[in-house]
Amino acid sequence: MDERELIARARAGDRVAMGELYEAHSRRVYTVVRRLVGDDHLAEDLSQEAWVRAFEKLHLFRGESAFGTWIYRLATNVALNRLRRSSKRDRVEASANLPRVVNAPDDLVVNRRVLSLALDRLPPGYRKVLVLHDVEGWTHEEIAQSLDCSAGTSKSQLHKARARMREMIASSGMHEDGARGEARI
Amino acid sequence: MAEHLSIERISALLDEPWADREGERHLETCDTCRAESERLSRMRMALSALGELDAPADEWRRIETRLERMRGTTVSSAIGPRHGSVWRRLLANGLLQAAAAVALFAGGVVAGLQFTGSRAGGADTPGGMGGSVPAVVSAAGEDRAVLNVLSELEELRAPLRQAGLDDEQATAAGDRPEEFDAVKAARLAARLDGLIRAMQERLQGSPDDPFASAYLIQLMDERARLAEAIERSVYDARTVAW
Repeated sequence: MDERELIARARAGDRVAMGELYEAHSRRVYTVVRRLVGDDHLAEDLSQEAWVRAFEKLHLFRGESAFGTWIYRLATNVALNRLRRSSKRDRVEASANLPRVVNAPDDLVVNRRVLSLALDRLPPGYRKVLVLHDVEGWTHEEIAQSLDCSAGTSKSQLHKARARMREMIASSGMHEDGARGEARI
Repeated sequence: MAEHLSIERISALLDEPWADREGERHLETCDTCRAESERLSRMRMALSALGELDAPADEWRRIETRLERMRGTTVSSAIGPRHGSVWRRLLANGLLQAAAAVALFAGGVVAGLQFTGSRAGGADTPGGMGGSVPAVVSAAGEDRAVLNVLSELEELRAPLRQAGLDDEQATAAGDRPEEFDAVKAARLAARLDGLIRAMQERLQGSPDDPFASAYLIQLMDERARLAEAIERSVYDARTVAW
């Protein structure tokens, strides 16, 4: 069954069709939300929220873009809105240390793990720009539009975020010994 | 340029080398800054290669539960043309329903007066009159109270209406958060509860009163919608408080 038919059935309340749409796009939705908010529990709540809203608003989906693009954008908006509301309650401190890496058995795994931990520990204002640009591949103009700021602000936040990431990763031991650290990152 | 470049500047050079010729020249001659540039470049590549994460195993079950719960708390079907949020739905349905309810109730009061007057005129004892008049006065009081509550419900919805956003525009504009006065909503919910109780008592005294029945349905409908909005706002506050 193609996606258009699934959407038509989901609009009519077909729970199986909804489930199939969810199955096809759940990882992408959860991933972008999780990376943006930097917290497992919050990501679980917001990912659910995005899907519930998507099914509520399915009648507004005109099929001009792919459903995956639509739900991805909706989920991103849900996460960004939450970050906007909680901007004065930033949970994390940028100075938070990452676990030190010693004799890592799998460079790739450690690399991703440390990167993910460092992302989680970024202040939300930095994290959202870094995730949208470097992880999700958005342009500064797209970020500026979504965050209601200028492209210049987006660039400035991005470079500060990368610098903060580098500091945290260096303090984890990944880069303290020159070639070894560089090879991993 | 004797000093090393800041990491921020090296980062900017990675993306737009043409925008900083002086910095670019420095990188060509400074091993330290070039090494930092390479590390940043690798980090950027590693970030872009981060894979997808698995959604929580029970996520779909939770979504289904929420969809079911929403169906249970709204009068209209969860599926089909409808507005996306509680307040947009209220905006769409509330005005007509409120108008209908007020008209029904106003009609009820008038009919009640006529009915009471007719019955009072035919009453043999003062008690007949005495028993009816307070009921009409009470209904008029309820009428005013309900009008006030409906008016305040409209005020609660006003920020959204003033923003002039429908669902699609809001989505395109980033699904901006709606202004929601949770304190006022809770206060209104308490008043709705009081009116619902008053209407239930009125129905106990006059089980066949069609106006009280219609009004009770209207009030309970508004109460259920308000409860859903409050629940969502509490849910938001819980997740914001991280």
